[in-house]
Amino acid sequence: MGTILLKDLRQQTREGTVVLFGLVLPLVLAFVLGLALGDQPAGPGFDLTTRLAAGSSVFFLFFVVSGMTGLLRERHLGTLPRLLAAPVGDAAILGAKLVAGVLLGLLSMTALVLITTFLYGARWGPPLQVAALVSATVLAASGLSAAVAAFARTAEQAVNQQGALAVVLGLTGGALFPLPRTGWVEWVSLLAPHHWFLRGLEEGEPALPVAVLLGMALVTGAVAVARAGRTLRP
Amino acid sequence: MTQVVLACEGLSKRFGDRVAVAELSFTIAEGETYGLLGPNGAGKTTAISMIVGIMRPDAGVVRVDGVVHSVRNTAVKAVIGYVPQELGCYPELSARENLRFFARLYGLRGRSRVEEVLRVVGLEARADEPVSGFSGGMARRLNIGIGLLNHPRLLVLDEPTAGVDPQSRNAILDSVGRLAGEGVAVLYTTHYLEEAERLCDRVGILDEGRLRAEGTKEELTGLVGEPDLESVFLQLTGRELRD
Repeated sequence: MGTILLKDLRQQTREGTVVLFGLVLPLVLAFVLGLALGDQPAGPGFDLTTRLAAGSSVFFLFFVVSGMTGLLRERHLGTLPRLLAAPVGDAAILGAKLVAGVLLGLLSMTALVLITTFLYGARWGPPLQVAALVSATVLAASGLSAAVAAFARTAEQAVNQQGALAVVLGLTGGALFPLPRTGWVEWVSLLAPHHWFLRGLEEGEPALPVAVLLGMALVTGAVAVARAGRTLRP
Repeated sequence: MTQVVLACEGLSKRFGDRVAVAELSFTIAEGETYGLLGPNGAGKTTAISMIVGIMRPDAGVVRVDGVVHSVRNTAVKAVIGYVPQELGCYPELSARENLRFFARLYGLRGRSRVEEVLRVVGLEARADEPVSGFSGGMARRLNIGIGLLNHPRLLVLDEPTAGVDPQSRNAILDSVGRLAGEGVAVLYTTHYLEEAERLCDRVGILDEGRLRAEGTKEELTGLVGEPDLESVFLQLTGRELRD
């Protein structure tokens, strides 16, 4: 698995999209929104800078964790048959794709937490709580992204669908601006990992959000692996 | 006595109602080159996918050196070299990086085998350039080089010369001929019947998933009373166009 994982990480970092979506765009968005919103209140338990940093980071996270799309790229390139004919198990191939997405997601989020802390003065909270929330959110985002890729026919289709999902969940989850916590809006927001990530940070009580996020990761990850495993070998 | 390296016994595969391969049986011995010929859609690539362990057969068995092969049998996969019809390499990586990656998948550490294969396929001078800049012939040679990395007992080539210039084709055929001389069992599919005549000790003609005839060139021409392999092929598979 390590060989495929290293190759995938090298390929994805060479493409440059990881740096763009995992670092540059979140920092720019947080900065621009900060300028635009000025001194508006961010909500209880959160200063505006931290909220914008956290919201921007989790919004773009979904564009970084698309490791499973790599399986569709391998098929398009014609390298998938060669991987399947090599003396490596299917689990190693699938695992490498999933882990690549998770690692890049963790790397991106960690860098954003550190940079926004030192550059923008964001106050994310106790490091262990933040680490637990970031890890659980990266896993949930990876699971959702993998589930979308597992049902797509081509890498392009997967990227488009993942992008659409990222925007819809980002908006309903309140990543870019807070939503009213009443009625159907609140119910819809509960489906978005963004909501749970921000709620965990805001309330300083990460246990329930982490549990929900891990549950999302487990369900979507299982669906993705089951589906990808079936389509890998007709 | 020459040892049988590959034995296919009653291989069958369906996709829905369509029969892709039906009860395909043949053997290839050490040092033998076996040509699997057939028109488009005959089932060659499906047969190869089952032989190299990419696809599960609905029925039948593949044995390599007497060991039953399956999609999970990594020990058998380690002795098979596979050259897919599509270029199975990463365009943004260099030839050397591609070879190193696949060498590691086969548990080969160190650089000596990679450098050796670069020499064999004549890509030493361009080894560090991205494959995306390669000509069709160079990319095909790299494709074959990857299949040679693990010193295979059985080398499976699926139309390895499709779309290459005569010089590259000649170099590829020479390489395959040398490997058979070294005792490698070779399974070769092609549309070019002159390649099969030049390279293959025996030929199997596959059509609509079934093996229509099998034998040496002399046996096949004698069987249907035609002078050359192309006439035999057209007699057995018909002259109507295939999609």
